[in-house]
Amino acid sequence: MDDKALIEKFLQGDVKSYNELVYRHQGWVKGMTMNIVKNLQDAEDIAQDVFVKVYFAINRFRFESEFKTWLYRIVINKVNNHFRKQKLRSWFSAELHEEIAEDQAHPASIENRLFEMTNRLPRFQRNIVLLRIYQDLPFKMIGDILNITENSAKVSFHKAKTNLKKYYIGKYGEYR
Amino acid sequence: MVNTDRQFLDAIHGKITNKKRQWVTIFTSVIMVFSTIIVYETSGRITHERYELLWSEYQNENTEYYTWEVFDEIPDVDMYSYLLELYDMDEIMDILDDSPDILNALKTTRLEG
Repeated sequence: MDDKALIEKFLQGDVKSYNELVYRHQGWVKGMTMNIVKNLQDAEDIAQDVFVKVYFAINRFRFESEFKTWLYRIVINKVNNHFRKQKLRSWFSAELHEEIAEDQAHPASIENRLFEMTNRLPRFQRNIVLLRIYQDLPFKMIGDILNITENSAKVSFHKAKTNLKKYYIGKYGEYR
Repeated sequence: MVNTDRQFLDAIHGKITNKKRQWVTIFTSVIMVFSTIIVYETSGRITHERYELLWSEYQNENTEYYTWEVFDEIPDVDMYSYLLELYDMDEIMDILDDSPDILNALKTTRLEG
């Protein structure tokens, strides 16, 4: 049974179809959130929130795109919310200073540094980087997920890369 | 902590149940707030009306009534006999000092008895 049939059955009140949807998509959703937030507990929490959102918002899904594309949008929104909350928490917490001190004592790898820089990008550019680099999605699909054209996705990704390089050089000196 | 698929699904359903409960709580709270406002407004109006009612009752209880006897025209004789019924002669004389018209009327009145 395909996603569309499962969604239609769920809309008629069949919770087993919803469970089937969860079983079918939880793997890549958890993988994606884990790739982005780098923390298993947070990743699982976000993945659960994604499916809770699906449960309450599925009646707004109009079958104009693939269910997976729609699910990607929810994941991206939930991840952005997570980062926003994290940023707020950092502002009000002294832990941030401790983390910075720790980072300076034990320099992070270039990948971790770049990931940290990704969080400083404007939200739209960050979404593209997350989908392109951390999910390895084609620009066509990124465009579908973010409701933009393939070319816009490519241009924004290029701008994001330029910004990342600028941030990196600004903080760590030469890009190596 | 690695969740199995089943635990993951159970955790999702737990969150869904919690969210539904939250909505019920929020809905109930909103209804209670509105009910309280409505009850408060209604009782305020009733109390106001009650005060008005009590005030009007109080007004009725404390109204002073005066009755006046109105005589269209009293003949001099009747006037004099009326004064005699109400006052002593000394008082009549005091009144008459201030009222020359009545005094003149008395002078022309023939007293009987």
